[in-house]
Amino acid sequence: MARLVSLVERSRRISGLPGVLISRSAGNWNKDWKPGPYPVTPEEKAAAARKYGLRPDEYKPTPDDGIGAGDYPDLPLVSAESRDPYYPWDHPEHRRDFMEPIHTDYDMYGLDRYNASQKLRFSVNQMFMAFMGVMTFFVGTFFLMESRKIHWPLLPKQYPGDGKVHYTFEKPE
Amino acid sequence: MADGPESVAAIKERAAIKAAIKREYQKQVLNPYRHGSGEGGALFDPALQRFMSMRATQYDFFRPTPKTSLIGTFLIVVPIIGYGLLLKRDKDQFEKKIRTGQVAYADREFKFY
Repeated sequence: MARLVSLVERSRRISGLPGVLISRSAGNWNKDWKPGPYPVTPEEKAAAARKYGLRPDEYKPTPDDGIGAGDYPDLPLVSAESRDPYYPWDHPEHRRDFMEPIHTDYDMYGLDRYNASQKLRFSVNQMFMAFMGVMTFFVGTFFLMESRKIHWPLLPKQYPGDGKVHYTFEKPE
Repeated sequence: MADGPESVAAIKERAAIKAAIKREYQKQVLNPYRHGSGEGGALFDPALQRFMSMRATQYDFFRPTPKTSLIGTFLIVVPIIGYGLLLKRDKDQFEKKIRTGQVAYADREFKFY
């Protein structure tokens, strides 16, 4: 029990955990844990940094452009796949440690999703140009040759019809 | 540079805090009596809780600004109304063709009854 309390004390210093670990209270409500309003003064910024477990000089709130998240921090984006696979993560399936602040779009950058922070072998421009080159070749060939089709050397089929003579049964000379 | 977020002192401080949290996490996760305090199961992670609450209350932080108005117009209003107008135009043209007798009986729309 003493270790739980000391964990709470240390966490409170780090991330402002308000005693939830040792209280059997009525649960965790969104109104208690949602981000606060966008911080404007340096004191608000420092308090928000402390709340999220970040240093004040590395804390940057999400931009306040109408689709922001209040004082939730704007964390550097490192996808799960880009993180060290040999480090002893607390949650290896997410490559994340306990109490590590989570990026705003975290669910998009898990191990089974997009790796946004990878070092590409070919740049996006090169990939796009290669794709356009291949598609231009195929589509161009289609457009050029669709009216000039190649076929086996065949004559048109000789169907019977009124008055049509395809063969006169003459003896060869 | 000696006091910045990338300085050696900052890196050491971050590493010390991270090591302390990791040590405590292992102790709590392997604590066989954690159910006795009333909270067993997955260890409560305040960072995860804050993320979930942020996602659940995203609308509380929405504010109509020029940027959000443009996004709303071009991603919601324009596709819906534009698609409706295109459909109406197509249907009106086809009906005009039918009513003036330009569509053959073999090309009628509903053939299977």
